[in-house]
Amino acid sequence: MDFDSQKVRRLAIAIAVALAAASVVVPSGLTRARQHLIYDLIAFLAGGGLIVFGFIVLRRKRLLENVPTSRIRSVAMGFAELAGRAKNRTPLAAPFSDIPCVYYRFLVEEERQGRRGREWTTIDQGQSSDPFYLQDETGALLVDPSAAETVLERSFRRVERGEGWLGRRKRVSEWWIVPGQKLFVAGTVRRLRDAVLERRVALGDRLRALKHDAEKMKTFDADHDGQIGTEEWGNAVRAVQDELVREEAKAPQEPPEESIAIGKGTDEKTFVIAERGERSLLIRLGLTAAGALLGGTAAVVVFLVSLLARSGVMGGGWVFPW
Amino acid sequence: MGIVVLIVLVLLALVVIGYLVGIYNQLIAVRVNVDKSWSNIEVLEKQRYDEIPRLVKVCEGYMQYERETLEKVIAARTRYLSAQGPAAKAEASADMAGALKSLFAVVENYPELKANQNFLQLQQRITALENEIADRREFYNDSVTILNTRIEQIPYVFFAHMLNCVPREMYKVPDAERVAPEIKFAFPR
Repeated sequence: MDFDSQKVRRLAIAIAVALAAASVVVPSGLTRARQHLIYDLIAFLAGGGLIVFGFIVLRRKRLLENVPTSRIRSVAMGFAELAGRAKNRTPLAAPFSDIPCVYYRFLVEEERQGRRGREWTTIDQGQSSDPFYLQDETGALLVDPSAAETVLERSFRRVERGEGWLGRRKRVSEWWIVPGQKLFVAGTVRRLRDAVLERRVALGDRLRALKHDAEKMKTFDADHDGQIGTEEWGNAVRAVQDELVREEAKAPQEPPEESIAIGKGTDEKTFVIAERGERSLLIRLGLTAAGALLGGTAAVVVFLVSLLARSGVMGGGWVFPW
Repeated sequence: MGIVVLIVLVLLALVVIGYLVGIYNQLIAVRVNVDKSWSNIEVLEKQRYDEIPRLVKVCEGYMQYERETLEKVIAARTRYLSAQGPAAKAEASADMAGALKSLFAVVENYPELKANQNFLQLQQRITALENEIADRREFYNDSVTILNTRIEQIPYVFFAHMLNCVPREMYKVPDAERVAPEIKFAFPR
């Protein structure tokens, strides 16, 4: 599960890095009290960041709550929620387990000696970008998983021994979406081909060609005056339009699932692929938002009090015991 | 100590204001979603509306004795254009769907027309559009349900009064469509 927990982890790492950086950057000549003052300030700002993050998650929760789930055959362009099953478009296999899938994400970590003992450090990560189909009872459409936030249970984990006596252990984790798996997808639907525009361009090309074909033009000269009047030109345009319609009817039809795709939008950035239903996703988002808002507010208040007491603005107040 | 209390109160007020702004924005978003989903039905209705003259043009060459059926389709199309609001639109749209159904039923008597490539293409397109329109009506009703529920819930109800958010009308199937068709069996007793 990497949707919100990943963001919370990143935020926690950012705070830890900031605190660690502060302990290095803060000149050693400073008194311990001054160092703690800087820690308080960083923790206070981190609390503010947590509140902002809480509001971002809350906004996403509300967005998902407010949009009903569409059927694929009638989905409108723009932000939409869809539910269906995954289907292969191209053969794909997960890089470490070799399991056939439609999408994968992997993480490679190495065991290193940290300040608090042995820790797993990320050395490589990635995800597949091959589009796959999402299919419901009414049709299918393409899912472009690039830049998607996935909410998936971990599918595979393997710990490998390092090479040689001193070799470090490696841990490989994978998350997959396999064909037939139930999915909930929320993102921006866009048309890959604009049939109306293509028809208009084809009509323009045909009419230009017709104008240069004197023999063909003669066939539309109904009154045989050697000129094409407005009415005659109208008949020519209608004839070309009919010709295009007939050709379209005869041409092999492009599968409808290739004409539209869901992915990350330019205006609305939310793009989630989840293996759980919308309801459980909303519960997760609600809990994350509540946790971030309450935790952030508590951190802001606690470290503000500590900061003011330490800086002398509030004499004799409570200070955080770093 | 006073300054700390003041700062804490200001921070808490900022969080509360942020929450209230979120609620206000959500109500606006829900209202816009309903308008958008209504417009998305109209986009497909317009496409169906645009296909009708082509369909009539293809049919009239073969169906000289079915003038009345074709005129009903044209009349339903004109009625749809002048209809205003969900209820009137629903009724006009049902009329149009009914007229088209009658036309497709009558076409069964004209094998040459049934085999015409243009007619087949138009029939498929109109049938596909009918299905898509039905899906989008359901989607519209879902959007209206979300809005109508939200504006009755606490704390949205307070903002809903301020924003003059009123419950929206659902897309209802006209009464004529709910009547079960009368089927007469021609089997001998």
